[in-house]
Amino acid sequence: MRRRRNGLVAAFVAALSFATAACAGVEPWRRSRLAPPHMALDACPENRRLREHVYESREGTVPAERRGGGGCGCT
Amino acid sequence: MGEAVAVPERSVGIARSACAYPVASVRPSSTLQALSRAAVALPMLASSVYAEDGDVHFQYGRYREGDRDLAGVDSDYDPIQVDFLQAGARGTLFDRISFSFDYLQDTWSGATPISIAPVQLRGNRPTNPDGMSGATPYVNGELFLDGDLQVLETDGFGNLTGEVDDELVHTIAGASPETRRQVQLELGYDWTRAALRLGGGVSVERDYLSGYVDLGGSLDLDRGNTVVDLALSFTQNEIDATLDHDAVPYIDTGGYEDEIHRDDVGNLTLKDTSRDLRASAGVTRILDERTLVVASARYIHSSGYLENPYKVVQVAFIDPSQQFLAPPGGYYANVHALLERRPDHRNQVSLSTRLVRYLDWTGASLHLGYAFGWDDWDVRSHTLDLEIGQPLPWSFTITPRLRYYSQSEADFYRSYLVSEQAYQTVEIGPGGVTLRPYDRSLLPNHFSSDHRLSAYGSLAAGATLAKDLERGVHLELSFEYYLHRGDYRLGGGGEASFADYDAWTLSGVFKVDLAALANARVRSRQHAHRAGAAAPQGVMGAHLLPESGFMFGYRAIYGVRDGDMGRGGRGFVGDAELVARACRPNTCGKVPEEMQEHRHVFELMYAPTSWLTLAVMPQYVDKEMKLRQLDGGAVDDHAPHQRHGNGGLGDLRLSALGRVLSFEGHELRVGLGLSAPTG
Repeated sequence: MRRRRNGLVAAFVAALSFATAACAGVEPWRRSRLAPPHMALDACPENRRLREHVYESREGTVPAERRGGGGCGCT
Repeated sequence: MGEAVAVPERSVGIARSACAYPVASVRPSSTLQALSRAAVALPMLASSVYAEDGDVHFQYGRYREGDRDLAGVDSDYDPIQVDFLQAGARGTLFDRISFSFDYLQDTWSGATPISIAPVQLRGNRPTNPDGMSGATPYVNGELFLDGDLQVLETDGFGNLTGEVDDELVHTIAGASPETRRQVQLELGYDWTRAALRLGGGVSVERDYLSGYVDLGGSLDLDRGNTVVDLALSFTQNEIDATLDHDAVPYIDTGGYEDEIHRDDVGNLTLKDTSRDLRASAGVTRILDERTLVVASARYIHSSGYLENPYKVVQVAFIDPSQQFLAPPGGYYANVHALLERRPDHRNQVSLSTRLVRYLDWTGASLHLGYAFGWDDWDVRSHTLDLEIGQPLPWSFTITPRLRYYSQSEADFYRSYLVSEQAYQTVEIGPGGVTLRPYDRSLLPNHFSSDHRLSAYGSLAAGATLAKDLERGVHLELSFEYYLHRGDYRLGGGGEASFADYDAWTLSGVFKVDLAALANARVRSRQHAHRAGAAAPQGVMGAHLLPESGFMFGYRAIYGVRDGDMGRGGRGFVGDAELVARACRPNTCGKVPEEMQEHRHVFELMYAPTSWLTLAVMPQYVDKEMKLRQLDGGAVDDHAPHQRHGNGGLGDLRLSALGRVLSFEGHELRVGLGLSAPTG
């Protein structure tokens, strides 16, 4: 189990290094395709928060919300 | 090649438009500016600090679960249903200081599993003459087991059929409706290449008080190509749970002597605290002109009371002194329900990554995410989600969505327990007869049958339809259907099918971009001198809008009244008179003491012509009634009820206001309205 977990961490770090180091970057005037609203990482935060509130209440995983609150979810 | 655009100096910093719907559509002269600002911005993690131009938003949503499989029993409980309401605003206070404020509330009602038991225990057996299971779940009873501790089938009257029946079922109990309210505030400070935010919030519900503070920051490392995001959050929770009044006489609360108290009206309440410390770090990186990638890690340390106070685990006690009732070669067991017990610490870690890619052939955005989570309760999870945001003509955007989730079970998850000891032993000594309870050390240290800690998978599919209207108004309608299945678990081995259920979530968002609205107001200033244009909201007949004009309003109404029962202006009715004259032929035991009402009224007005204005007024209402014992009335066999609450959509009011005559300085207007019984 520990070996598998270490492997996952190593793969994650490798992917992160690749993402941050292997690219030269894109100049601001070449980012027009990244600009449309639907390209935003959190295009519709209200609906996302509601969905994640439901998931957090009904599932046993690590909550996606970085902040606390959210209530008991005991039912 | 991307388009070359001018980059305003101030906008080179980290802009974090949370839902950057195109203000360009209402501000043509600023199209280039808006695009420039968006182009240099690196869309941030989900922890966006603020919308640069500010917005006001409202959301209503409903979550509802489908019926559970109760092995042929028809329960009279409705499944879990939740009504969500959210209202908030984001904006800038000064040049670099931003804020966001949100009010959220959700009202839960319906039935929930209290435990898992063999079908042969008949925990959901009918208690009403109509054959439906009623208010009191049967969590205690008797079982016959064979030599391998498998459950033997009976005919319902204690007669064995000779067959093994290991089928399980949830025991369903009614959850009393309750409303949770949460307020949260966040302030941000924005430098050219960095941002800091400080936030906090409080969540209040009848049995749970939670407060948190949150500190986070973002740093642009490479002209917007790479942004690092860090956050730290601390949460303190106070549990004050009134145990299920219907089931509590049948639940063993042993082991919680220090936490359980009887309140001033006789309810058994469990009081304790818990804390969460959350830390997260993420990196967002532009890979190329079409691709963004995010990698983030999150750690949560929880401590204190981490149990669910409304869940029990049923234990089949095999009492050696009662084995004369056992079948040949088997065992006879008495079943009792114990409050669940979890470790008082939990460490959770998740690693997640997300890729966002622009698709040239349709102009759509592809969002692909994966998250892996594990904790020291041995719950490991995989979450894979896919979204495609496709712009459509007429300012529509459709976003279909697919999510797969799988988790393993907690190492202390048990459907039920078998313990080879007596639940109680009668001891006769010099001091008289005493009852010695079971030996807790012979049970596992921790046990829970909460289905959220079981092994299962889920599949959710849905879509969001968004529409940008004029003057910065943005609408969204979202639907998702959710399948919880034991056999969807990655690699198999999930919980049996008794725990499967379906659910759906429907929500709508109404959002106004304040900058675009202000701009539109300047352009339509010529309408400001029309009759009624400056009248405050709620003035009937005043708001006849200009052609194509719209108005949005929101009113929060709070009311409280006592429970005194009047006699048509001739004094009040006392308890003795109620008992004597109003409680026949049935007995009554409770009377209202106080009722509170919160009413959120939304007003949407639109003028298709200059002489007609249409209005729709949806409203959300929640009420809570506090009860007291009727002096001289019947006493509840169970622990007394103290409060009841409920909430949801109220009646929908529709109206039309028209100008039928107009002459110098005077207008004659006619209004017509009706109330649709949607509540």
